[in-house]
Amino acid sequence: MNFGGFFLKEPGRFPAEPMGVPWGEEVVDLAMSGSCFTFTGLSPRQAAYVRQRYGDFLGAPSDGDTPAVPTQLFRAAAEDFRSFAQRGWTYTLDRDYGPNRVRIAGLDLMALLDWSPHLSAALWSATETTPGFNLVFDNVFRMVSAYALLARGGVLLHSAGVSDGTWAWIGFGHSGAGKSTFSGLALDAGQRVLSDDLNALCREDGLWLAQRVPFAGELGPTHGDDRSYPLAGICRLAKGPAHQLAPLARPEALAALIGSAPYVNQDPYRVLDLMTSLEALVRALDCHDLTFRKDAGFWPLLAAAARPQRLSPAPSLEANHD
Amino acid sequence: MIEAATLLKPSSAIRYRIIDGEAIVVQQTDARVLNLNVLGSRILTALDGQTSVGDLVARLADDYEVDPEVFAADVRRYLGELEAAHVIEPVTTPAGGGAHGL
Repeated sequence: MNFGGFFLKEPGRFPAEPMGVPWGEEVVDLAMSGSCFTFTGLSPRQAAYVRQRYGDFLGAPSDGDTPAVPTQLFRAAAEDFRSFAQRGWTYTLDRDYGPNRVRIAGLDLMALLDWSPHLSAALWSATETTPGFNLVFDNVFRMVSAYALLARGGVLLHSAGVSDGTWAWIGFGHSGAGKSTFSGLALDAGQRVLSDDLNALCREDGLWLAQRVPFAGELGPTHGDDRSYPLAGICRLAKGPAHQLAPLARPEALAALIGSAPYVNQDPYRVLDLMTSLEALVRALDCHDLTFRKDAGFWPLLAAAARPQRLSPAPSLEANHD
Repeated sequence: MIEAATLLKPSSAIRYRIIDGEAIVVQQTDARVLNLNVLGSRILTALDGQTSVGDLVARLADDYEVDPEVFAADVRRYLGELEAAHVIEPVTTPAGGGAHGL
């Protein structure tokens, strides 16, 4: 099926440019993992949702030093979208990748990411009511976040991020590997959880940091901790009968991490940059296979395995990001 | 059928990177990721669309102490697996004929 055909009645009418009728005049600035995301054209109802949902991340407009990622919101007509039964159906955004653009179609939404010359986005929504708009906004914001991080040499990773208040560990793995269980057990042991679903990994002054993002899984969002924690290690998670920590070879770690970097890992124009960033990550940090049972006894193993990062210059990215 | 004269190249639908001698291959269509071992990585990087399978086998065989015929058969079988996994693809000529079976 051609791009958009599943969601749109007339995919050929997908907007070619970021133009249209705004929902309103509201503006919301969100600050996250080193970027300022500015959303314009929201209706009061939409803005209220974004401010409530992302309250911990409300920020000021970019001061010029912080990369700015503007997103314009426009109205779309509800009749432009197909309606269908959603029971038993896994929602996946339809994406069309290009060298300077990514087109996105989904439930009651169309979106356009554009890199000419800097990363910006346009979102056409057919709804401003909940829960429809929540889904529209959250899905597009996740994707924009992933691209903004990649442009800065970082990555948005499907993972559990936990911290002892000084260092952070990232546990990743396929669905069901135990990210939420790992996070919950760390929480029970008095540790902090950044997110049990998605975490931002980025480099600052050559050091890899983990930072909380407002996207959580079963545990729900954590609040209030806006610090970045230097990474002490990366673990591929698996549940098992006993706690065990074993070295994970870099090639295998890199392959597994690519599979855990949503959205950008399917973008043929930017996946090489993803691989570059993740290669730098696995060269800087020790990678492990962590098998754990349902108690926090794995924590001493992680603490004992923590090593200083191997610092190296930031690799240069190839794609036109910003 | 992959034969000695067959010309192959990395599929346009993959992106790959070598780390510690091993190739990490990403399939663009579904973000599937494959690891190729050191020999597999050498084979992938040698497939430039101009080197025939026969030449490739001859070049690699010098580095491995195995029976040349067994080695050639193993490499061809492996190439067949890579092609089936859409990691590599045959070079097609402008006239529309493939290089397969030459």
